[in-house]
Amino acid sequence: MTSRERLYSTLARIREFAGMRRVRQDVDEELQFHIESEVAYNIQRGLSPDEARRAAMNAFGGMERYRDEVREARGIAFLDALLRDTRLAFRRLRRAPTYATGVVATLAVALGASTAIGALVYGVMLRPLPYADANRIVRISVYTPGLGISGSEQSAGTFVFFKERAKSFAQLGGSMENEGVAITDGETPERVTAAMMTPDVLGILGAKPIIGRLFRDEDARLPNVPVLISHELWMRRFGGASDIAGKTIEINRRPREILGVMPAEFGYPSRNAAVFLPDYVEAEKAGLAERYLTVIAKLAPGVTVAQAQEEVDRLSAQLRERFPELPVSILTDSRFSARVETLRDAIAAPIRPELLLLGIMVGALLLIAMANTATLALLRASRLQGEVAVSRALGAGRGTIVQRFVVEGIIIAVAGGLLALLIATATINAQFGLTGAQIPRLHEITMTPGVALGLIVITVVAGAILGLVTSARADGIRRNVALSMRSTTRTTHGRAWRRTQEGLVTLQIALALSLLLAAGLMGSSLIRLNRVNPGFSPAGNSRFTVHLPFRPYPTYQRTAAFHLGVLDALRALPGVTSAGAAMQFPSTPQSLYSHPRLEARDSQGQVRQTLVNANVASAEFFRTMGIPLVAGRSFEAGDLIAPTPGVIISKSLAQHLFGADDPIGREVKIPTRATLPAYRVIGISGDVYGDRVAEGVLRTIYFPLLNDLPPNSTETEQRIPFMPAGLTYVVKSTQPHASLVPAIRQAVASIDARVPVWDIGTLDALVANSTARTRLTMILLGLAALATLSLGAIGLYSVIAYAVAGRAREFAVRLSIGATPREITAQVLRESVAVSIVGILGGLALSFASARVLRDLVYEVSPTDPLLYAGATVVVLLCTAVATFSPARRAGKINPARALLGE
Amino acid sequence: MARTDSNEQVLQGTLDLLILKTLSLSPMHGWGLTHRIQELSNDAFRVGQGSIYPALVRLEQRDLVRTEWKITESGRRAKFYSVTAAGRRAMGDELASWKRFVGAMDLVLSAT
Repeated sequence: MTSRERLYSTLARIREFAGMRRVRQDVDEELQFHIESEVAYNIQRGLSPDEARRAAMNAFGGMERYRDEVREARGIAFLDALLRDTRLAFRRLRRAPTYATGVVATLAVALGASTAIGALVYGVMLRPLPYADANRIVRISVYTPGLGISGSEQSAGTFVFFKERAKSFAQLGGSMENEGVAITDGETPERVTAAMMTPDVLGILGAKPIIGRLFRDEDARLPNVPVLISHELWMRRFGGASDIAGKTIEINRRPREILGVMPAEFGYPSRNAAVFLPDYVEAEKAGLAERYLTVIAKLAPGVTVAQAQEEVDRLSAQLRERFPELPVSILTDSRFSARVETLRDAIAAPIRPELLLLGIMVGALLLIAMANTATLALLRASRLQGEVAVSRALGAGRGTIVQRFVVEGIIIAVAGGLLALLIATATINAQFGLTGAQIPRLHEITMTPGVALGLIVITVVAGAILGLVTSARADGIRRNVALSMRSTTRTTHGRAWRRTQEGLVTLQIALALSLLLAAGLMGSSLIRLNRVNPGFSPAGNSRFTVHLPFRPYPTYQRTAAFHLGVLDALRALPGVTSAGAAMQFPSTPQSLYSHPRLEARDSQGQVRQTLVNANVASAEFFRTMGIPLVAGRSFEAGDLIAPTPGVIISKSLAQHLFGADDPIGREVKIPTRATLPAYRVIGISGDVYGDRVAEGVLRTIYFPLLNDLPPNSTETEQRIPFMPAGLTYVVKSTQPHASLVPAIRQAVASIDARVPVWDIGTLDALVANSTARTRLTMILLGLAALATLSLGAIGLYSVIAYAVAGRAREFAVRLSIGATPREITAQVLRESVAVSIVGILGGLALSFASARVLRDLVYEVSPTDPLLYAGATVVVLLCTAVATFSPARRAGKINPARALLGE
Repeated sequence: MARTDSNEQVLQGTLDLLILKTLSLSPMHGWGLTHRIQELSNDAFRVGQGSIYPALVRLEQRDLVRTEWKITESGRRAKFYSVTAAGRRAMGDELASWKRFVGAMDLVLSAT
């Protein structure tokens, strides 16, 4: 064909692609007409119908050939060839089930996992938040690790301070969540989470209710503040009634007006918040001790996050100007720092290390999948060389061969891709088996059509590449047709190919080692975490929580009377050996409201101060929980009414305040609350941890839950800094937990039937949660390591088998001149070990380099622990030895005669 | 997978000329065309009838012929080909080079 004809043909191809089917029909119809006209003509000439038809076909010449030529000229031969190649591809794949399943499975798992995790990382870390102008919303956090506080919440003091002085922010708002709120109208009280927020918060988020109105400043100062309710609560409790605005809801026994309903997607501060209450912070009374506010702000126009951070840093140094009562060195002692970051980053921050790790895992998985698929493809290509040579000899052009393999590659890849899509969608819909508590913004992660489309496109491209690679390898006609045709398993590859394959396997081994090592580190951390004595013994204990509403229990006495009454009722139950209660429990997240500053004078008269974890406990609490009293005694009647009420402090606190001196009998004070008396230390308890063991023991002070005072005295409100409205109880019993549950409810109801009981469970479950995160990471890594190691072993196996097959001749010659099979086997083993060594070294280097990422996640283990490195190396070496054993043995068993005859 | 060797190419060129000439006398469908060429050449040309169709497609793509679906006298639907103006001009060119070719061949073959 001249180039012009070729051009026309191509243009026609493009033009007619759309009308291909019609064109096909036209061609068929025209040729059909021709034949039938010829047949009619022959019949007219006197031939019988059969003869007429035969003569017509004869006269026409090769029907198929001319039809194809016409189709090709008209540009639809392409479609035909495509269909034929597709059918052929299915047939060929069915004959090579191991290859097909291998590639489909690899792609499905690798792409499915990558897509799911990619969606996770994107949804949590990268996707903009669903608020107006979301990248101008920042969170301002305050950190004081020097005081033993792990949270990042601000106190009212710092909130007011920044609000007054910082020019970088157009608006500043603070919020907090309270889980102990009950909706008390209706038959049974319902416990919900309430969010209290300053009116600016909703403005900053640009959130508007779907019914009703937003908070106004004056709402917060009403005696019964009005509320906004969540969409979920509106549907569940009010049936989505459209006249909801203006209705009343009773919260903690106080009636409140419902101002409106928030949209279903609204989830600030969290998705759990069912009611929203307006709050205000009084500038004059703003203290620095209690850290409970989550503060967000809208950047002023033109201000960047960096500039805001600069201003905040500058202002922090001036804190003492506003709060002159602060000690001079408080900022350095507490290692005070304030951080400004976008709200999206702040939300993602807690799990950023895990997400990075997952990202690395995904990268590793994809690399391995690519390597394995390539190896499998190359193996297959070498096996198909004979078949391709035959096709070429019969006249197939190079393009035809390439097209065949590309079609096959795309089919297999798309199959894997569809499976991957299923896996990814299922994983995302199941929310990865995690909860919103573990992963922020989890509910926002969905499978979008864009992602699905992208996945399919990637698989098609991958399949095409797979086909190209395979065909390049299988089409050996450039080298030597005769040679290709003669052997079906022999490979005539050059050293370059072998090196590539060895490189791929080396990569896999390196990755397998790194993942194994990381899993080992997590496991080691987990062991150490579990070995840490939590400071109490959870076994056989049941627990539950009770929150008392304010109105019927406005004073300390009434509250204490209630709780002590319940404790008595519990002790009366059959099988119960002891019962206690406290405001905060060990190994659980500690409440943020209770970090007052404590002051004490040691034996030299030196004043020491520290922020402490404050708790309120009943006398039997320590015994029931198994927290030892290392000195002194527990609470007794009279401890509260004494002029200096008795308190128990934890060992670490005693150490900090009094050093080696005996703390019993010494006094401690809360300097910021002048109305409170000084307290006397009557006992020292063992140390316990909060919910993050890694952050060390808690410095705790326990105030007594006692009923010393006359019932109507109002004085006790001033004696301890907290009103123990919400307490968690612990019950030790010989009965199993399940049988205790109804008895517990009964005991509480016997004191006040309208008080709800919730969170009834065992103490063991509580403790398990504190190591949950490390466990999760370890499981993830372990699975990844296992998968990588097995894939790597399979990869190594195929490479060695491939190489052995290619060197059959060489081995045969050596065998025939006197080498023993064992020598051959040994040689193969040695060479494959050499390959793995390179991989192992690579893996060690990779692990070393990524030690920094892991440092955040491990507990008391060095990320470069030599013992673990050695252990992982040994495991990988063993695996590679096992993988290469079979092909190595087969190398020795080669029949020299057969191999040399080139069968 | 069309394989063209030089023989076929020559044949193809001459076939194109035959088709153009025959169609210029009167438009017709493919089948009619094969019989007409046979008739006009006194049965000398008897190439496989099917070979005419690829040639017709190429001529159409070069805009030397145009096609039209019509109903024949017997009521069947058939594709009719006719020469375009460009086709007539090309035919003229092809005729001229054909005559030159034949003349040259004559000269060579009649040399002593």
